Amino acid sequence: MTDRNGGKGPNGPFMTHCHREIYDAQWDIILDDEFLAAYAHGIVVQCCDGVWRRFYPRIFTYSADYREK
Amino acid sequence: MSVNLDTLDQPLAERRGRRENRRLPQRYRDILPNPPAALPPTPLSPVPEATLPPLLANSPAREVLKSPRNKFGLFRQYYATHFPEHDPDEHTTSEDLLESSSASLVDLIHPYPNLSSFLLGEWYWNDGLKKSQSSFANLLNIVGHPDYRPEDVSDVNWRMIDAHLGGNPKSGDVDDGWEDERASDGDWTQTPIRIKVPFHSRMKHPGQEEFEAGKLYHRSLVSIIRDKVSGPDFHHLHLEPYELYWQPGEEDSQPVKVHGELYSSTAFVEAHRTLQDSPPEPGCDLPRFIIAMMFASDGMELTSFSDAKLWPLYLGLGNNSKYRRSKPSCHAFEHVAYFETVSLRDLSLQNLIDPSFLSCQVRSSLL
Repeated sequence: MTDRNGGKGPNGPFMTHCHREIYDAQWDIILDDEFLAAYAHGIVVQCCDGVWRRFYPRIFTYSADYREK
Repeated sequence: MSVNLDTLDQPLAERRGRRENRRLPQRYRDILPNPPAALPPTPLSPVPEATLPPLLANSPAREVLKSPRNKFGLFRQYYATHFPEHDPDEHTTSEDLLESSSASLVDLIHPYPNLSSFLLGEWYWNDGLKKSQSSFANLLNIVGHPDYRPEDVSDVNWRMIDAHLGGNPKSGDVDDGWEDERASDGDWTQTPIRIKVPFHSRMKHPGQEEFEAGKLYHRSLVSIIRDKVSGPDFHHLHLEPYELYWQPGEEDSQPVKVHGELYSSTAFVEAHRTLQDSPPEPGCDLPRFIIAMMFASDGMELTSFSDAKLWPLYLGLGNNSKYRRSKPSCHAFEHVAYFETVSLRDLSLQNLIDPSFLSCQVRSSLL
């Protein structure tokens, strides 16, 4: 990096980009294909009352700090 | 005016006869919480475990259903074919709604053997790091209190108690292990995080390059949901959303919408309605429900002296009451992942930055 940038270290926008990329990449891992399939078609689970039901996960809230900087 | 000569020598306050069953003034009276009114029985009940209410096109039309009002004039309004058979509030007793500490004094002051030693130990650990006038006054309050018994503290094994407080009990009970150690559920996985880093066109090697920026520790969302729904916590999950209204007066008065739980929110009601209106999975007539995911994440410093940090991601279910979610003892929140952050040190290991350069200049300015 320094080598490519004429001896200068990374700047602010560069680090912001990396923070955002790494954050998005991790959500990409968490929201995996299994989850996306469940989101679209639901998952069939036998609940502890013995009844089978089909559940569709939906994301309602996300409480977090703004962490891209 | 008659004067009782027997009590004449007593102070005036003690002379007044005690009135039994006196009502407290209005401002001190506490109205105990009241669970919602029970739902009317469903026409289909009792439902045998194997059969399921059909949700196909020929099923009865959905309609607005109102529950009876409870003590406070609150009622639930569903939009469904019938009232839900699964009603978590059915299991709610007034005890669930009250937060009371049933722990005995012995449990509360554990591992201290008696109150005098507990108060001294509490003063030693929690009353600030430095000696001060106010701290000294606090100490005098403890040892000067009529209930303080010097003989109670003379035989106390302070060293053992402190070891116990520090998490190294000499005795056999080791119940303060970390959740992760206890639950050897092994459903955590590590996935490398790959990010693309751009390089300026005037740089030596312009364009994008992919880097591995650490590993993400995470669990499968679907397996967390499966566990929650099939486990005993299911009894507390609200599957069918409803609107909560307040109608304190007459039957024909205008009810007021009450906001509180996620499962009584417009968002949940609409999501549920959209799901019911959507075509079912081919060949499947199982009842369909929303699992309301509520994520939360917050970075935290682990120690005061190093840069050890954790950035956990939690998942709670909005189908659960907020009063249960907020109780640590209910274990309503699951750890989903521990986020990684970009650090120049990680990137330098991959020769993104010349390490020697990092050590002399960048570390001081950017780390």
